[in-house]
Amino acid sequence: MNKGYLMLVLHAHLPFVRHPEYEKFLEENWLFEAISETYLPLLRVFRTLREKGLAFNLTLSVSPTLCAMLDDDLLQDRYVYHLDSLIELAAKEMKRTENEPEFNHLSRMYLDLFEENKKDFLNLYGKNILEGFREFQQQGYLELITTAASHAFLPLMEAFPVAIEAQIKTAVDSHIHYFKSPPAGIWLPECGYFPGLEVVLKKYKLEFFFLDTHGIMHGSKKPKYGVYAPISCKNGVAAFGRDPSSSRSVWSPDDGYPTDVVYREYYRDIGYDLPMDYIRPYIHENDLRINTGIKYYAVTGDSETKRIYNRRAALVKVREHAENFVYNREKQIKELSGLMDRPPVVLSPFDAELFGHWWFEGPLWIEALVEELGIKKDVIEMITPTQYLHAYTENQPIVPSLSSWGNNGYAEVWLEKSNDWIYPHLHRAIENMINLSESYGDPDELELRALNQAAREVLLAQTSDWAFIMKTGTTVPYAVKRTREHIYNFNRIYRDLVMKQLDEEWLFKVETKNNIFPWIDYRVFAK
Amino acid sequence: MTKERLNQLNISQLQDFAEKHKIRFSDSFSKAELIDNIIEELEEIKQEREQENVPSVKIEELKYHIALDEEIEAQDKGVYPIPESYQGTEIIFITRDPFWAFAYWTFDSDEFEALKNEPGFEALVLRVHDVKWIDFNGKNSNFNFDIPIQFNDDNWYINLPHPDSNYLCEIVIKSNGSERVICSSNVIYSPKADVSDESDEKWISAGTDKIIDIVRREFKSFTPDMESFPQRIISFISSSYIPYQK
Repeated sequence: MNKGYLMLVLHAHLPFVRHPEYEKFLEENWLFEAISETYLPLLRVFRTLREKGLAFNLTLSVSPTLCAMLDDDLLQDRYVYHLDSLIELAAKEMKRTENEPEFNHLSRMYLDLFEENKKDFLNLYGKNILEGFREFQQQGYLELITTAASHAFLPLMEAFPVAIEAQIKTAVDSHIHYFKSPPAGIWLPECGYFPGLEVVLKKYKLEFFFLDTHGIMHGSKKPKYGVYAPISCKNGVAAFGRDPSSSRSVWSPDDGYPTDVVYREYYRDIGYDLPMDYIRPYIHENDLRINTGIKYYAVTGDSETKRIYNRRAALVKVREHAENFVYNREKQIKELSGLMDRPPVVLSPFDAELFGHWWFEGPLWIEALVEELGIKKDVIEMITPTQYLHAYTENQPIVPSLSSWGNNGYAEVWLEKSNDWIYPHLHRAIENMINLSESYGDPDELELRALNQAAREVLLAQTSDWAFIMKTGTTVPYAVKRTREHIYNFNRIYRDLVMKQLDEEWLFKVETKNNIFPWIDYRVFAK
Repeated sequence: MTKERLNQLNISQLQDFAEKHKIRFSDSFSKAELIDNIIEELEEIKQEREQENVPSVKIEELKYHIALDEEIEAQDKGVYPIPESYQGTEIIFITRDPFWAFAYWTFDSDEFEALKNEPGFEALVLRVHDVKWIDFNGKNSNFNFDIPIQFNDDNWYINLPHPDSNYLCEIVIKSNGSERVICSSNVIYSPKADVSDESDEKWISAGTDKIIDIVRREFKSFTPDMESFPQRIISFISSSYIPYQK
């Protein structure tokens, strides 16, 4: 019997967005939507699978910025408020659609979903869903890993090794802080790797990372197993390469599973469809229409007229797609097994938020997939990187290639005409932060606070999401403002320290707002 | 931008909006025509922008999708002035992909003034050196080429001659028939753009080439297209590179 492994890796990340200075802040909805549509539904799927006695060896990276937000009292309370508002809207929808059974059925579905989310969030997790992930890790279902502290795209920081180390050390510290144990591996933001990065990873006891396909295929040596076994960097840190076939079946915007006509359509939201007077309390101020999360239509196809979403049909399709995925992996493993002297491992990494947020049925697809794999376990098994590396201790030595999973496989998403202006600022801030770290051996209490906040600001400015948004064009003004804010905050602290004129009142405001990594020690930037 | 949102603006605001987004229009357009024109053009711009995105980027973008109105002004009205440039003369070099790199530089303001008034000034150039296997001493690169720059330039996208090589760049001033290096960058590495021919005996098998073919079959965009560079078009002063020999 041919046998192989499936390594399913989900990367959960959102940039740090927290605005206590406003009563309601639009971009905080990124987090609320992800909690409602991805994180809580995934945790429900994990519980269902556990109840069924099915082991799912899934790898999940939870970014330090996301951890900070999920752990934050203010955002937790705001999420409850957000849920209450959705519950109220869904209840109104039940009434509005009472004479339209198909819509009414869906209003009920959303009301149930929001109420279930509220129950899980408050009763099960006491507002902190990190507890849920921690529990599944402790019970051996999940392997939790980290990513760079503020999700910096590391290849563009290569000329500044201190900044790379600050990102990695802070990430590991954050993981230990929130999950009570060190991570064994790391998700490099955007799969962004450059040769030599493994030296820092090894220093912080990170044993593995992931690359896009060409990161392995274009490495220093011809890869004996292609991307179907990890390679070993010179210092022994392992790298797993993405399998293009399994990734495409889910990612492809043309024929990927989420594009099936019966699944729920993402873009048709009642936030846009219903009259302003009705929807006003549930959208943004100034009558800015936004997603509410209540969507009644199916993908349908190219037709202008969307069909009403049929939940039952979608659930049947979820099962079919899970079976199809496993069938294709079986075929793949059969073909590869004849060419390899060890079982192939198929790496399928995804942004976690794909599941649920965009592909509404995605979490249930994972559930169906694990169930299907349970039936085929003599052929294909799920495995985590740590489990694999315990079983196969010797891997081919190769220096991987600089790569990412962005357009054309390198750095062009994060370095192009829309966003290249940020790098002189980021790099100068890093250089100045290094100077501060080395010149303040024994700061007084206020200086210490300023130095630690300066370190936070330099890290936050490096968040890859800002450059990404500038390139892709969604909410650009916010991304520009955030980059400028952190550069400004850093420069002001730097100037005030040099001039010995720290403004305690202003510093307090900044500390209160950008309160990430409360334990940080500015010496993380010392050479 | 949704129609409903645009309808809230008056015609002069709509014209400002169109100008800001470089959308062509005629002064004779009625409000409705202007709105239709804006929506059509914005949709085209959006489609053009999205075309080049790979699936992982397309999906990631949706994380930040809250509203159909993409050009929402940032709610955070804080003003954050940041410097236009910094003190210090330095040049930083960054790899973008196997065929392109990005350099940016700053000059000390005093030095900048002196350079602009350099007696016998002939040219300011960006000199790119191939330094693979070289401990560079300023003169011993495998080959180099110059890109003419102006005093008001502060960055450049540079077409690299070879993947799998090392480069550094310098800013050089030419005056009175001689040259002076103003500043020198860090060394970068341009990644390989295909599968290596090298292998160790222990890590090769009869199946390896077939496995590589299987990966290639599924992974279409193996080699980036060096022709598709969307930013600056540059020209080399010297088009006759001395080819690098291993």
